[in-house]
Amino acid sequence: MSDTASETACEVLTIGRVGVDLYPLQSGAHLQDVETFGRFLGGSPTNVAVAAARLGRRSAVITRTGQDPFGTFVHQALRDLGVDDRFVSAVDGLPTPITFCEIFPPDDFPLYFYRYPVAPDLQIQAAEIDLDAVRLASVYWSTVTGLSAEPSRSAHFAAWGARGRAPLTVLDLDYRPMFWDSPGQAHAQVDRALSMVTVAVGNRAECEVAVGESDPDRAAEALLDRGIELAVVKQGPKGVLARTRDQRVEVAPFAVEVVNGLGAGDAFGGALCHGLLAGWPLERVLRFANVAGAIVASRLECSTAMPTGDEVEQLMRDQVMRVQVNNEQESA
Amino acid sequence: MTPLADRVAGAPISWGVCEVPGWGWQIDAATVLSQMRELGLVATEFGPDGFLPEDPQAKAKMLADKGLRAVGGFVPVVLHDPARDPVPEIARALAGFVAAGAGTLVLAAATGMKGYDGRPVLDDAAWQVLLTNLDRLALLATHSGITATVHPHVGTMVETADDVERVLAGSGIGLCLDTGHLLIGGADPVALAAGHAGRIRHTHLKDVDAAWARRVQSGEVTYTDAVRQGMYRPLGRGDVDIAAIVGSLEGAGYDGWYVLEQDTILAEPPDDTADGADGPVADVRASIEHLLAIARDLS
Repeated sequence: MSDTASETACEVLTIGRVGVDLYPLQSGAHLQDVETFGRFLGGSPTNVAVAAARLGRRSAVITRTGQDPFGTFVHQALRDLGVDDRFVSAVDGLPTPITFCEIFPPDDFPLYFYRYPVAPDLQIQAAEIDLDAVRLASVYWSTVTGLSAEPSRSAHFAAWGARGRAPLTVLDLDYRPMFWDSPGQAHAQVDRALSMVTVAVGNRAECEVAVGESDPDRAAEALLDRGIELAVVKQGPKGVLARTRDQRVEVAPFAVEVVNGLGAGDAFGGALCHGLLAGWPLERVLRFANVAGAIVASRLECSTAMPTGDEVEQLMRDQVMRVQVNNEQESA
Repeated sequence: MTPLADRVAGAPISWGVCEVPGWGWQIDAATVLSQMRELGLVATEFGPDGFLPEDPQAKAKMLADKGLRAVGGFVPVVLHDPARDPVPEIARALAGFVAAGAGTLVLAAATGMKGYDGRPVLDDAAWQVLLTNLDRLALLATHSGITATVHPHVGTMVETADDVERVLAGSGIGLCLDTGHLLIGGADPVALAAGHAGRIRHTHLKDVDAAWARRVQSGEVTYTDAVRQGMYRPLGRGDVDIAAIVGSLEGAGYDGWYVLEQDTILAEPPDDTADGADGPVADVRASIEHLLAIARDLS
């Protein structure tokens, strides 16, 4: 093998969706009325890799594009944003997906996915995944969307099988109804996947699909019962709850003026990876990730909006936050 | 296959050079390396951080100037903590090994505590993390063309006979067979060499006073005190059947190093003339003679 150890080992390796986001350059307009769009790199796990790279982590994404100009753009954008693109391959005959959204702040950002007839990123093949890279990554990040179709689903399980549930293997519970026939179908796949990962991250609705619980504490407990070491439940206006076997940490939301809420979750994810790798106390990890997410929500685009560590630290210093940390030994 | 005589290397610990604070008198690298070469050793392990120059090129040059090759070295790393990924740290270490021309990484499953006189108990989940990390680091090393081994070692998470069995069954990494540490851990190095020669990729040879080893096992004395009292002996002057171990390994096609590693603690600077009856040089010379006699008997 010609590559050296440090070239092979990513700090953050993600797998799954990629595309080109075409976001309206005007707020509060329906798509039919929008005349100009900004073009940005998109796709949740791709954005997580970008977010981690912005925070100084060596990151890469395993995904596939079309053999087309937007595919070329994906490679260029990844490199510009500091993400290793060597695990991005092209699929003949399928276009690189594009995604539109509408922007109705503070909380309505409908997405319109153009992933037809099928998205190249769901054509990830088990045989083409660099399993050494998967095994050596410090953080390996997957999303539930990657399980929505074959051959991507089998590729995800093959990669997890090779990794052997090494920490930190993260599953973003990311559930998007349009990619599934039914929530039950998604549940069946998430249920299998939970036995392969060590960290699970999702909002309350996603936890409901994953473990049948939308109450944050009960959802986190159900995830821990599945052998997850760290369960992170995003509770919207109530902030974020994280639980391990012996810790319960809840962090309040960080208030910003929302421009576009899309991508905030991916910034949170990249920052979560960064904080866990840094070995910070869980409460600091969550506060940092929360602020990173808030910064992206205050900006239009997703990938290019990802903050640096300095930007996050600055905002954290500027704000006193309510933090509640309970040691939960008696209720284990 | 390289003749056995060309696979005999030295280790700074035989001169009392050790990373544990307060271990004893620390001799400078130039003296140790010169004495190694005068004894006829062809290579050496790196010893603890700070013994050789940190910069890999400077390290390689210092060894080359003394006529020695780089074997590689001992890297203690925490492997059982799910919150600590050893890969970045070992990737950096491997880059240094490559630059210095070394081919063997000797991992020890550190406890996360200081010294070698105690260790925590791991649950099954932590063991799984440790075993998975061993495989990951072995894989990482192959990407740099380096052989990774784990060193069953007193006061680490891989110490006892049971621990060694668990590593052999649960991971694919090679072992560094260390006669002394295996014996104290309750494993039989002779049986291990006979039964698992294919898994042994690196060897630390030391002879052991079995009575002292039992006192460490029973907790009557600490490991460090036993070393200070001379638990480790030159080859042929203790209770380990070195000839049987070397015979098993060579018979199975072992092509790795035999590192003469007789851990010692020096209370004071050794005699500068370095050829007294006691002291590191005399001990290492006795070990070389014993090992070469075994090699002659095998050929």
